[in-house]
Amino acid sequence: MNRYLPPSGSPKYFKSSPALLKRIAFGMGAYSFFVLYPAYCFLTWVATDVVPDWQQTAIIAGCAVAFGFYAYREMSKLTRVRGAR
Amino acid sequence: MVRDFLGEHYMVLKSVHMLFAMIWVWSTSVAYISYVVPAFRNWLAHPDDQDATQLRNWVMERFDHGVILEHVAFPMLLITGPMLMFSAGWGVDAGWLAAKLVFVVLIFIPIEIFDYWLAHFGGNKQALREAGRMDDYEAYMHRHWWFLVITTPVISIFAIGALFLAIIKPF
Repeated sequence: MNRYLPPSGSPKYFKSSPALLKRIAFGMGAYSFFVLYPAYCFLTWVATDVVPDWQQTAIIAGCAVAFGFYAYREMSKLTRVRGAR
Repeated sequence: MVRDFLGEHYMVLKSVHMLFAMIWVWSTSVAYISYVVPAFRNWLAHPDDQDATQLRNWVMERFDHGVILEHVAFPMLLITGPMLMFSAGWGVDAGWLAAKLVFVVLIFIPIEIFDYWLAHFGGNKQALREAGRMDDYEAYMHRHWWFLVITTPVISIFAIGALFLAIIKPF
């Protein structure tokens, strides 16, 4: 194991906050719904001329919201400062 | 002619593709769950503890090396995937394939580009340490942890989702 330590002036403390994680999780959910889903719809529309119905869109919106919550929970667990050792 | 040749070897191609898919998805999981996460969470709780910092550094440098398997598997997937598509005559009219292509192009490739950079190129921690760039070393340690924090939920949903789509072909 190397014995090097960061120099004293370097940013030693990892900075994260619930507000930042919420913004990132919101971005992930939004990316799923506003980027990934339209890309999928475009591909299937090009190949089959089929456009998604409202029911499918509503299900995907629900999945995107659930994914955002899941992402927030996972990221919070990884950055939580307690119970180590 | 090429399609005939690939078609004759479809099952071999599929086996190779699945083998590399499993390597890509799982090869770092034990190291990540059992070593990287505990070492980083320990350091988060005790940032002034030299042992915690040194353990974090050692684990992350080894992890940079350990992701080589994953980073060999990924380009193999990008090669064998289109070969499978071509040999089987699949197109994006198959919904599962359209979804999988979206995952690959808009999630996995961008993530892997960052991962290659952090592990093997500008963000390689051992190289930074050996160059004496300890400020950058620490900065990249933080960046890499942010990368892992953000990509963990993404990979755990979409990589498993891609495997499900490829195997089950549900729509």
